[in-house]
Amino acid sequence: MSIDTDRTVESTTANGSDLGASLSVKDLRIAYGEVEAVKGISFDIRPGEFLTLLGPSGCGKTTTLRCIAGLEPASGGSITIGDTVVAAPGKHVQPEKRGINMVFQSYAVWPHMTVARNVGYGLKGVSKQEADHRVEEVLELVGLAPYAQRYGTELSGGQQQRVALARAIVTRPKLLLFDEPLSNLDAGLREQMRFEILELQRAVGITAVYVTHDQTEAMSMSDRVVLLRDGLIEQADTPREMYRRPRSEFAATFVGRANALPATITGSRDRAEVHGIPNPVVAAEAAAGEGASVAAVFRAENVKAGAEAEGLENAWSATVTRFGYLGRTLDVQYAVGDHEVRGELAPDTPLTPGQAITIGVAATDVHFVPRAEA
Amino acid sequence: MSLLQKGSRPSAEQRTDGNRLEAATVSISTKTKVQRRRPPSPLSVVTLIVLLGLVVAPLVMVFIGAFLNGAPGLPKSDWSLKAILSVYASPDYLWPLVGTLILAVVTAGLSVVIGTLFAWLVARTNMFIRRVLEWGVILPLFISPFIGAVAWNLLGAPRSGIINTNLRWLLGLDDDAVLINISTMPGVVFVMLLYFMPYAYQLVGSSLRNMDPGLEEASYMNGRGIIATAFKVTLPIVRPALTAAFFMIAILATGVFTIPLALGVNTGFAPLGMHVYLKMTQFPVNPPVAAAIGTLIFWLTLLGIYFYRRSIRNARRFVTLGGKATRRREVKLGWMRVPATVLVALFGLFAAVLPIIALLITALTPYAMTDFRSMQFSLETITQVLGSIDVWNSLLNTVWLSLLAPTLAVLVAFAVAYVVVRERGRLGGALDYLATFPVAVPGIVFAMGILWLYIRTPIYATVAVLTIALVAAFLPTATRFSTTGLMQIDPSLEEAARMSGASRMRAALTITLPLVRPAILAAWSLLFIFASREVNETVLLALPSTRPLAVLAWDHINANDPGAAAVVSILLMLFMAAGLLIARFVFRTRLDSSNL
Ligand SMILES: Nc1ncnc2c1ncn2[C@@H]1O[C@H](COP(=O)(O)OP(=O)(O)O)[C@@H](O)[C@H]1O
Ligand SMILES: [Mg+2]
Repeated sequence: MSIDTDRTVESTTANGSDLGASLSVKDLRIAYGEVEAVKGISFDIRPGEFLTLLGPSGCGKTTTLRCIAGLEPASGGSITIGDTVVAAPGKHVQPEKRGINMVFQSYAVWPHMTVARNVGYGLKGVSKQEADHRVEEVLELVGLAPYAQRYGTELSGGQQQRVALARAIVTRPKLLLFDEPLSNLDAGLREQMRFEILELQRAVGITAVYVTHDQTEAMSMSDRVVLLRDGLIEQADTPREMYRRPRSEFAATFVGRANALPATITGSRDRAEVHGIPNPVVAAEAAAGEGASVAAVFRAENVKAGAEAEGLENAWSATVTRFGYLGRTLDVQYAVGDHEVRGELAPDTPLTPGQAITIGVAATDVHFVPRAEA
Repeated sequence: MSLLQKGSRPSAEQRTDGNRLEAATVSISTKTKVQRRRPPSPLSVVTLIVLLGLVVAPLVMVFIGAFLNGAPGLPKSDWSLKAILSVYASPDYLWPLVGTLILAVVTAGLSVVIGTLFAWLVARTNMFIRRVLEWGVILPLFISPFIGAVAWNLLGAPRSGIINTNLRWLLGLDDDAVLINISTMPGVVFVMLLYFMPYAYQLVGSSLRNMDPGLEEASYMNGRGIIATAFKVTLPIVRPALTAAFFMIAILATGVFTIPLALGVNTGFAPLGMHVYLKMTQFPVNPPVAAAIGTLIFWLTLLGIYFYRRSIRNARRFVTLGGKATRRREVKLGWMRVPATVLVALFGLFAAVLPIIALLITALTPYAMTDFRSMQFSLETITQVLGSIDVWNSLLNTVWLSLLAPTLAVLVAFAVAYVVVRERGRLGGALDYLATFPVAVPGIVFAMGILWLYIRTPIYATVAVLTIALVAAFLPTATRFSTTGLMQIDPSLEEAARMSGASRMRAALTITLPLVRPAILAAWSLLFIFASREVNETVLLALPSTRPLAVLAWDHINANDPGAAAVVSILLMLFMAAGLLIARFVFRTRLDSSNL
C-alpha cells in the first residue's frame, strides 16, 4: 500500500508551499490551574516546512500542539497562522475556524461512521459531487479506496491511522498537526508510515508540526527539530546540527547515545579537567571561560578502542565492564577511572569482561556544553 | 525544501528569554488567571435554571410549609413555629426517628452483604444455571417494592394469608396457628430486602464485571487462594460500589411508607415516611407537621447523600475499560455449589415467583378465598376491573408518564453530563450536585413540595405535574448513566470533529450523541420501568383523573379490594414487559443486568 503521489503533484506546484501557511509561536504559555505546563516558548515555521516537537514524556509537547489547534486556551503569548493571529491575550479563534487539521494519537476514527463518511465529515459547504470526488481522491492517495464502506472499528491499527490521515488532509488545511501518530503501531509499520507521512506532506506541500518522543522519528522526518524540556525549549535546530552540536548535556543525551563527563575548563579553553582522569579532555573548539563547569560530550560511536585509539588527542586506559551484541554493532561499557563510558565496536571484536584496553576519542568529536543542574 | 534558514535557530536566545520571563511569571500570573476564566456557557446556564426549578424549588416549598399553620396556598395559612416545635422539640418523633435509622441501616447492610455475595456467585463462580438464576434477581425490578408488598400481604398475612391458611391444613395445625406473620417490622425488612437488594446486586455486579481480570490473576500468581483473593483484591476494588449501594438503599429505606402500609403493619412504631403520608392524607390532615417531619428526614438523607457522592466519585477511579479479551478464571465452588445455587434460587422464589403466583391466584378467585381446598377460579374480578373506564384511563396516564418522564429526564441529564464532563466549566460542580440531590429526598417529601408548588397552577390537574415530579426523581440515575457513558468516549473523537471544521454544536450532535446512544437508551429503559411502577410520589400528586395504574392499585388496596389491586398489578407488569419488548425492537437495545 504505497502512496500514489503523482496525482496530487500535478495539481499543486512542484515545491507545493502554496498550500502551507507559516506558523509563528511567540512566548506561548499554557497553565493548568496553578501549574504551568508550557512556560514561554517561541518558534517559527516556514510554509511547507516539517517541524518536530521532540522531548521526553510530560515535557509539554501535546499541550503546545493542542494550543496551536485551539483545543486548549493559551494563558499567555500569541500564535499566528499565515497572517492571522489565532491566539493572543483576549483572543481565541475557535478550532474549527483556524483552517488547520490534526491527526490524533488515538486516531479518533469515529466508530459509528464508515471510512468514507469519516473522511468526508469535514467537507461542509462543498457540493455532494465534489465532496465524493475529493473523498475518493484522498482515499486513493492513502491506499484505502477498497475500504470506503467499512466501519472504523473494522480496520487494523495501520488502516485507522490512514483514515485519520486522509480525514486530516481532505479539508486542505494550511497546517497539519500530528500528535505521536505512530506510537501505537508496531515497529515495522511505524517505519513504513514514517516514510508515507513524509511523502504525503511533501506531495501536498502542507506545513506540518509533528510531536514525538522518539528521536529516530524526529531525526528522520523533520526539517527542523524543537527539543522541549519541562515546558521550555532546550534547542531548536536541523536534525544534523542537533546531533553534531548539542547545546546542552540534555540535548546530547536525549538525541542519540552520548557520553557526558563532568569537567572543569582549564587555562587553555579547549581543555577540561575530569576528576579521576590523568590527562585533560581535549576538544577542537574552545568553550566558556576558565573554571567553568561543563560536560564533555562525545558520542558512543566515536569512542575507538585498541589500535584505533592510539594517536587520538584523548586516549585513556580503561577496563571493559560489560558488552552486548546488537547485531550491527557491539555495545560496550568501559570504566575509566570512576566514570562510565559507552562505546560501539565492530560486532566481531573479541572482548572479555574485565579486560584492560586503551580507548580514545578525537578532539573534533568532543564538545563542551554547560553542565546540567543536578 | 531548504533545511537551513536564517532566523530559524532561535534556540539559545529563546531559552534564555523563556527563563527570564519565567521570573516575571509571579507578577503576571494573577492577570493571566483572570483572562483564562471563561464565562459559563449558555448550555450550563440554561441547565442550571432547569435544575433550580426541578430540584430546589420543591424543597424550598417543603421548608416553607413547615413554618406555616396550614397547607401552603390556602388563604388562611400564616407563619407559625407550631409544627416545627411539635416535631423537633417534643419526644413524639424521637422513637420514630431512631427506629427509621435502625430500619434503614439494617436493610441497607443486609442488602449489600447478600447483593455482594450474589453478584460474586453469578459473576465469578461455577454455580449452576447462573443465567436463569440471575433473572430471579432482576425480575423484582419489574414487580416493584409496592406490588411486592401487596403480594406478600396476600401470601403472609397472619390470618388469611395463602401460606398460613394452606400450611395449617397441610400440617394439621389449629385454625388459629400463625406460621408466618408478614405484618411486622421484620416482615417489612424482609420485603424491603427482596426489592432493594437487586440495586446492590446490580451496582456491585457491574463493578465486578468491569474489573480487570489481571488484578485477580496477579493475586493467584502470587500464591493467594480464592478466599484470600476475594477479600484482599476483589472486595477492596468493588468497595466504592458497596458504599454507593449501601447509602442508596439506606436513603430509599428512610423514606419508605408504601411497604409498611401495604403489609398492614399495625405496631406502635411507624417509620417517619409513613408519618408524612398519614399526616398528608388521613383525617385529621396536618400538612405543616408533615412538612416538618419531611425536613427531619431531609437532614438524615443529606448525610447519606454526602457519603453516597463520595463513594460514587471513588467508584469512577476504579472503572477499567478497554478490550477484555482474556477469559476470566471461574471459581470452583466444590461442595458449596448446590447450597449456593439453592440460596440464589430461593431468593428468586420469594422475590418473583411466589408474589406473581399470589397475584394470579388473587386475581382469579373472586371471594378472596385463600384455601386451596375450596378454591374456585373465575374471571369475574378480571372482567369487572377491565370493564371499568378507570383502568383504561389509568393505563393511558401510565403510558404518558412512562414515555414522557424518562425522555425528559434523559435529556436534562445529558445536558448536565455534557457540562460536567466536557465543558468542565465553573458551573459543572453545582450542576452535578443538584442533579444527584433528589436521591437524598424521599419521594413522599419531594411530592409534597411539588404539590404545593403547582397546586394553584393549571397544570396541577394534569399528568404534567406527575411528569415533572418524576423527571426530578430520575435525574440522579439518568445523570449517572450519561456521565459514565460520556466519560467512556475519548474526547479526541469530538476534537477531531472540531479540527475538521465542525462547530461545538455540530460535533455534539453528530459525534457525541450517536456514541452515547447506548448508555442513554439503557438509562431510558430502566427509567421506563421506574416511571411505570412509581407510587412514592405519584400517590400524593395524582387525582382520580390523572392517576396511573400503580396509584390505582394503591387505591384498591386502601379500599380493601385486593382482587382488583392484583388485577391492576398484573396489568402493570404486562405493560412494563410489553414496553421493554417494544423498546428492544425499536431501539435495538436490551435491558439486562450488564447495563442496568
Ligand atoms: N488536563 C490537564 N490538567 C493538568 N495538567 C495537565 C493536563 N494535561 C497535561 N498536563 C500536564 O502538563 C504537562 C505536559 O503534558 P503533555 O503536554 O501532555 O506532555 P507530553 O509532552 O508528554 O505530550 C504534564 O506535566 C502534565 O502533567
Ligand atoms: Mg503527549
